Amino acid sequence: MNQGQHLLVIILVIINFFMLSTSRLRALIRGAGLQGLLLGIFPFVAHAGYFSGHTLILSALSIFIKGVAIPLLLFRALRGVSVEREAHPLVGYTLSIAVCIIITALSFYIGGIIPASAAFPSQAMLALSICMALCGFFLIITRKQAISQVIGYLVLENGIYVFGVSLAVAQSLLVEMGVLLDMLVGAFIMGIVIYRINREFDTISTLSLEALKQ
Amino acid sequence: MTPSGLSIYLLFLPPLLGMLICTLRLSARAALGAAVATGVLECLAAAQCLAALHGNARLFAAGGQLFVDALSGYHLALVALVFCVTSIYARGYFAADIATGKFRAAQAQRYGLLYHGFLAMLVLVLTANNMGLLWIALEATTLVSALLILTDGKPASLEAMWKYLIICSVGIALAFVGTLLLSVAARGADPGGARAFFWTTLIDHAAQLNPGIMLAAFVFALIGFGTKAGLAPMHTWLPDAHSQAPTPVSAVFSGVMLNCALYGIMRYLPLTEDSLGSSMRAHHLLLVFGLVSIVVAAIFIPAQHDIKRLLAYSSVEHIGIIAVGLGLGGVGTIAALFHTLNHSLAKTLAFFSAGRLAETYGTHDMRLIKGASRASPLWGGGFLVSILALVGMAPFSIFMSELLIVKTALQAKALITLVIFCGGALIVFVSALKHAMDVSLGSSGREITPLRPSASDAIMVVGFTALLAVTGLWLPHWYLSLLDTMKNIIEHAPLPAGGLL
Repeated sequence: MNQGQHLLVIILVIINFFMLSTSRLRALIRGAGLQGLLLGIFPFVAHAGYFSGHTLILSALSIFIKGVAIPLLLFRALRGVSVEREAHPLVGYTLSIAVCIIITALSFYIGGIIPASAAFPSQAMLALSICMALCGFFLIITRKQAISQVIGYLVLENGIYVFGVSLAVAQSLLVEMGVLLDMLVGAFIMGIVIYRINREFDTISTLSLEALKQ
Repeated sequence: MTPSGLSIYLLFLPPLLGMLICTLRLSARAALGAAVATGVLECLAAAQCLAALHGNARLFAAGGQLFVDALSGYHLALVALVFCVTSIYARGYFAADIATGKFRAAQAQRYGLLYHGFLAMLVLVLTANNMGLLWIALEATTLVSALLILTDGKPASLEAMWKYLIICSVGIALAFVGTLLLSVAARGADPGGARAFFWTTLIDHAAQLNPGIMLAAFVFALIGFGTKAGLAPMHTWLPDAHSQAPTPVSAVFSGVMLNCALYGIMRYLPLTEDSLGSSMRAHHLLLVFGLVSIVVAAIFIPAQHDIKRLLAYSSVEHIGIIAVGLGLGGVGTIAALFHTLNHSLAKTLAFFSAGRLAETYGTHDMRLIKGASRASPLWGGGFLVSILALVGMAPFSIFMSELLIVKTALQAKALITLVIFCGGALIVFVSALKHAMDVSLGSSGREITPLRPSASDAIMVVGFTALLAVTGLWLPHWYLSLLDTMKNIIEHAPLPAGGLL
């Protein structure tokens, strides 16, 4: 663990807190975009002095897709939607922050008890990935606006990305590009659905999606 | 390029051609007709691939990134068959909507494009050798098929699509954690290089995989792929998606997509068992999820009123039964693979009939669909037959595969499994049969103008019925040896006997 790594982990945790405490949808998208940008430089910080063409291409792609393309797509989906805020989440914002504190503490506790080994070289990054995945999951289940749920999914994916980087798994370029492509297409399709839901129900709250039961 | 490589590439040709054709300006009828042509071609492609497999244990293509063995060949044949008949069915299904202008050329093109894209991705799932590629392809099937649910653009299908997208995306994200853990577990064992993450390499070195990490990888893969396969309690997207999608899409979902997700689990199973030294722990996990699925289906089936939701919950039950068979191992594995075929055939017929009956009566509500065998002898009869087959009535083949699973459970002295399996099957038997009797034979006060079934409809219903009945009574020798070969792929190392739940 070096200084840069610690700093990055701390910044990402702070963004997590910010995202769980904000009600503005645009701020939520910006938070996810910022996380995407930071994750792009993660491989270089995580494996200091490790520069290869493979890592460079992936980082550039990751920054472009997670930091630029997906936020732009989601901003576009928000255009024409009158909603600016997540009005009444299932769990209020104060409580959300409390949950985020518990999640963070728990993740770093779990990260601490798993011994650093060849398989899991960095405890802090393991903890960060668990923390982000759980926060993403929390967003998905407690927020009602469709766009917040998409952001939750992105945060969850980002957590898994951190997990992958911390393992230093040398996947083939083909596979990693495929993963990024799937994510982009996923966000694109979710954007389309948000647009359609808005047109159909005049709102993007998923509470209107309750016709199908049992 | 080796000839064996060519026969794998040929599998991708029909769907890609189909996608290309559907980008042209076609009428709705022509786009649906193109799907029939590609369906037939895909059957031929699968047949030549199986023929090329004869005498070879595995075929490779694209530098080993793609491969086919008996297990993938079997599933490929199933995919091709179900797609082919579904394409034929879709022409009749959409005919009325085309006539009234509800299904326009633009929609048909979009439908054709996605439908062929869906087929291409399912083929990629089944031919992927690189475990990362397998994951990508399975995620891609979610994305493509989500848009297929939306074909008619009703608010309810939007809701179903949203649930499907979010739940399956989260599930598949967990499967990605499993994929990552698998590559960590392989780190100590693999010979390095580009082939390190190929399934064919991993299985050769499976005994050297890190057991603890491999078990964790299996748990994530089981939950992730299990979400897509519709194993309870991750099945919640399934009834909505199946009931809201156009019937041809529902048939493909139930008939093959669920199996393709289970196929992913079948690839993880031998890796995990070998690395754990054949402890059956991975099998136990699969068994538990299978039993939970049967229980959930038994709880929800009696209360269903929507004809397609009934079939959707029946899919949860049957995926559970396949998981139980795989979980028991040994003869159970053979039964599970046999059951895969039987369920695909019976469920495809069931959805076909239900779709046309719902169209005839103008509703999905079974309380309003009565006396269907008088209103439409072909589809009413087809529905009754398919439900009889699905609940496990002799002489249909599902009876045989379920009996085989019960026998395996008895021999393994797995009493809890036996009780839950038989109890669940009994509840489903009684309640689903009651639904089917009411639908086919009950009396409705209304006068229904029956649909005129076409010749291809009649051939389809009779063909499916005959196939289900014949395979229940007699199986050709080559099919039995195919089942045995597949069992040896899934159970790479021999398993210990007994000691199950």
